[in-house]
Amino acid sequence: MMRNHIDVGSALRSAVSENYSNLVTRPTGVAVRVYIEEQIRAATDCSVTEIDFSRVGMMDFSCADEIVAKLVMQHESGTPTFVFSGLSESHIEAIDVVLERHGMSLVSHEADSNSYIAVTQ
Amino acid sequence: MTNVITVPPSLDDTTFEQILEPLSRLQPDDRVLIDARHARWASPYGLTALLTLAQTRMSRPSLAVPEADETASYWARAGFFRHAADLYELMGSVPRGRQNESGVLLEITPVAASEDVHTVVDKVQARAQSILVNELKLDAAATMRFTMALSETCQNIVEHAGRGGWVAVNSYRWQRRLAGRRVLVIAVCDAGVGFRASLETATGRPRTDRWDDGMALEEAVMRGVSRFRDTGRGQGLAGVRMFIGKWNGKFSVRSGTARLAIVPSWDEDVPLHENLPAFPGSQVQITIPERVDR
Repeated sequence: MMRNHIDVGSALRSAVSENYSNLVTRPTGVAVRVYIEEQIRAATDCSVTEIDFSRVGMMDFSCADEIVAKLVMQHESGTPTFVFSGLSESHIEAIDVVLERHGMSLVSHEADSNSYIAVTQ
Repeated sequence: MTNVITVPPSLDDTTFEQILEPLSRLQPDDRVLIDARHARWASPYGLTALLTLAQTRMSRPSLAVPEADETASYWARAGFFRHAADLYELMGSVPRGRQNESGVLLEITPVAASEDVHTVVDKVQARAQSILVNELKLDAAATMRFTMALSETCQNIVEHAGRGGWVAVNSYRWQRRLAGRRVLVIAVCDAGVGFRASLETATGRPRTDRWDDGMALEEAVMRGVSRFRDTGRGQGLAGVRMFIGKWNGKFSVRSGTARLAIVPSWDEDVPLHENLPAFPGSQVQITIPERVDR
């Protein structure tokens, strides 16, 4: 199974500014999501896309909504499957809050690993 | 005729109402002199709200600078006079503030666009860690939550106010309240359209018998209602409220003629003040107290 790895930190710096390390504000979230979607379209043979947040500092609710919730909702058919990795405690907190509003939640993808998938509640 | 409004000796979110009360009786183009000569102390809210006040006037107001050197020096270090010089006719001796030696967590910073929020978050993140962990005794994760709260409150200006506002953050020790505990205070003030007018732009908003500034604040802050139809919107301030609760902090939002507060056990404020003097925009304050193990 081919896996597409997307580094959100690189996406932020490529799509918005080389100087940014935090995912804050809705326009930033939109720009990063659009960049990620371009990467997904380019990797047509990958059924799993790993969205890696390990090189991201802080993420606010607006970015959690624009990047995680909207990505998942726009690919509700299940292709590709999104796996979210490199999440800090505060990233998870922000994502949990926004997913709950959309009737979804974050669950561990694999035992003993820091990777998660979003599921409908 | 110039209308003189005296700044109370201690200027914070509560005493600022003493300025708004006489101001609300004036026409927007009436001449105003804000007399701060006898002011001795001002919170981040007091200073940012003074800048906001000037933005609401049609004719350039005057401001008499505090006479006490220590007070004027602090206002300068907080960046107040740098911005006030563009908005007020300053009267009196204005000291120079050296920004890199300010000792203030975040000097008064204008917020008008998304980039400004990035700048604010980057500046504060680096400086807040030691204060939150060493002085307020909060866990390390609090820094991220704190900057999230700051980001969301600043975004409120960018997304809804319709004009630029101001943010300031500082930490100090309360002399009389909370047994002298240290607090961290965020103030975010703007003179934009305010919550009620912002929500009124939403299409399909159900009309109710009661619709006023107080209800608009309840909708936005307590129920996460936004003018946008997107269900993902409106989570910012509701999320901030959640964090503040975890820290036993206080969160207050003033808009128009109302002020809504999430009141912790250590404070005696009321959850909703109505019929306050009208003032444009929204003024937010977050107070995080030093944690005390019980």
